[in-house]
Amino acid sequence: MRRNFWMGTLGLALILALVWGFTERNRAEGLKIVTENQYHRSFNDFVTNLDGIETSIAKSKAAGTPMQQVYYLSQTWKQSDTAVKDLAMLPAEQVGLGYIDQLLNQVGEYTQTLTRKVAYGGRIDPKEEQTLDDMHDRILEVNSKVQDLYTRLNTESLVWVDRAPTIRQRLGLGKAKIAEAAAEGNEGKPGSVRSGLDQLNASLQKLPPFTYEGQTDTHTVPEPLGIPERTVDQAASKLIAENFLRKLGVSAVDLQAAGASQGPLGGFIWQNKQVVVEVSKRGGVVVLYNNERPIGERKLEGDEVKKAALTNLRKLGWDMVLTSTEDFGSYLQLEAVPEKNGVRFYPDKIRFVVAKDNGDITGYDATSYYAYHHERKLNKRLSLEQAKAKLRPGFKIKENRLAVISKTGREEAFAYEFRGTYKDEEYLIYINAGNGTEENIQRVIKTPRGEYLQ
Amino acid sequence: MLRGIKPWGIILGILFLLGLSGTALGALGDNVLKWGSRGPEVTELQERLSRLGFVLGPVDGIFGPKTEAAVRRYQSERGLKVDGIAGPQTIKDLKLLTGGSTNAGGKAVGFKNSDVDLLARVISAEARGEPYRGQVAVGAVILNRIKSSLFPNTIPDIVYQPRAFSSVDDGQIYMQATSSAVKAAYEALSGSDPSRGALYFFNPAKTSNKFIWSRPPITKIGNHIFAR
Repeated sequence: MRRNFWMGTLGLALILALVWGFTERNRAEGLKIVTENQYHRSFNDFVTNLDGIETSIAKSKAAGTPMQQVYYLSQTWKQSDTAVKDLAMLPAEQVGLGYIDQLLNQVGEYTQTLTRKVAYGGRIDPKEEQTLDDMHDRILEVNSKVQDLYTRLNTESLVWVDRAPTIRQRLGLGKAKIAEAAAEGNEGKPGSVRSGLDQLNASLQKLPPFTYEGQTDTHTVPEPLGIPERTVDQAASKLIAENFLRKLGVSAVDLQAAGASQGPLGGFIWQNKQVVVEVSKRGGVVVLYNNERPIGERKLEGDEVKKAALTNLRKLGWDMVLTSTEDFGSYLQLEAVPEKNGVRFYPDKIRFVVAKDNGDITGYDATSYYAYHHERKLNKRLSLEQAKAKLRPGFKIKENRLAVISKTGREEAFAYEFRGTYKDEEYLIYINAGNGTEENIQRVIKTPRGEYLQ
Repeated sequence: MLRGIKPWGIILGILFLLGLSGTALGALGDNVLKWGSRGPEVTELQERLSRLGFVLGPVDGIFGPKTEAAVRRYQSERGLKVDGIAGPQTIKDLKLLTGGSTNAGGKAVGFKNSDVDLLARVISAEARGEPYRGQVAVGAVILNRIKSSLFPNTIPDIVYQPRAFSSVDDGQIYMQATSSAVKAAYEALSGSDPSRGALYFFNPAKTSNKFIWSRPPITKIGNHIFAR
């Protein structure tokens, strides 16, 4: 009797476990299908767009009128953008497919530059045509490899990601994982879509990236233009940091070495509790300063803070004008640029933070200034009246001045800045003072924190 | 006409009206909200506070200890008098900060920086407990990736790129961002980059990934190494 009871209970438990396992398996299977559907969709879209890029470049080369050229070139950059998006949605082992992204982004950016040029009435010169040809060749190659992968996915039911290595393989007894082989650049038939893309990525890594005018891969500071010609050692950098703090009125700070940073403006980091100062090795200038002290109750409001900000900036040796203010309640985040003979130099900006309890500077970043500041030759061929004539009819000018602005990449333009309104909207419009090109349009938005340029 | 109504009915009516006023009906800013207040005004206060990263538990329309603590933290970070009471000044400030943007003609144009929230969540999930500078640097890494040709071109594409961020893989990104992460996100968006152009960051104590270790390091902030 007792035995029967236990047998029954165990049997029931087994059945329940089986039912549970079966339901879970079904659920997992369902989830897998949903996920893989997303992968299929993205990959399919990727293949279509890649093919589209190839076709559009080919057509743009043959186009005889600017109108058709602009159409096919802009088609190309639109498709490159979408292809990059598709690629970002495919499954990954560890890292992205950087070199495929790079090719697509470069094709997109380059065709965008050419679109602008043609739309402004320019012509694609032989050198540019050559670059476009080279890009086309590379895209053709990538396109055929991706299509091959796509065919295999559909005919050999290729998996998306390689299976985890078996114990034998982990012990080094089996053959090397294809993804690893791919990462090392060895060719071979990929076992999954992912390793196929990894192989493609690795093969692109070996080729030099394209170089062209208007490149915008600007995540790093270029060779700094605005630093003094000298190199400082650690001891000297400490004196520079202390001197900087003294000017700001941060007294009796016992700075400790807190490491070093690399790069063109890299150098020595000095720290004391909430205070961090970074002094560049080349040039020996303070590039970053941060004081994370708690900020007390607001004492200064509105223009008082801005006045205090400029006064404190002057103590550091900067005579500048404020170009942007963001209000975060207990502090303001500001940007200031130099102004000489009525010309504003926007690339040479200093970003800083001012606390509203006492007006002190609690954050400072002079990276842009030291990276971009240099003596510029400013050529003005257009008079103010000629520049005004380039604006659209109905644009009401509120103020205007001359300014140096950053363009795509590391280029700059010397331009007339017009601030004004058109149909209830406020804009900043920049007209090149040399050739009259409309360089940039910024829309002014009023946010709760201050003006925002869009 | 009034003859029909019993005195206790009137008393009950008055009590009912008193009760209503206790639950603070009206728009945010009509009443001073403090410990014990309830109602839609409190709900709105709580919603606005949590949008800015002042975590206060569930938004339930009850001004309890957690809401008071959040109000205090808000006041302290915003440089207001810290009393834990959402009075006119605090509410005005909160409305200002969480309000939408307008164009020059005064037409509402939305919030205009929808990606701030996502950026703040990644910063919060990846760098909670790191120094503020380190949080700004994590935000800057994501923005540097936009500028780099090796990565996709929008904040969501970069954040949701498979295996790019562990906080996305384990779902931590769906937790409310801390207020310092929200601040760090704004600062990174305004162009601040303590990472000095980094494209990767990692915690050396927790990473054995060969690829990430092979990247040339730029700087170390808190527990993170930032690399090119």
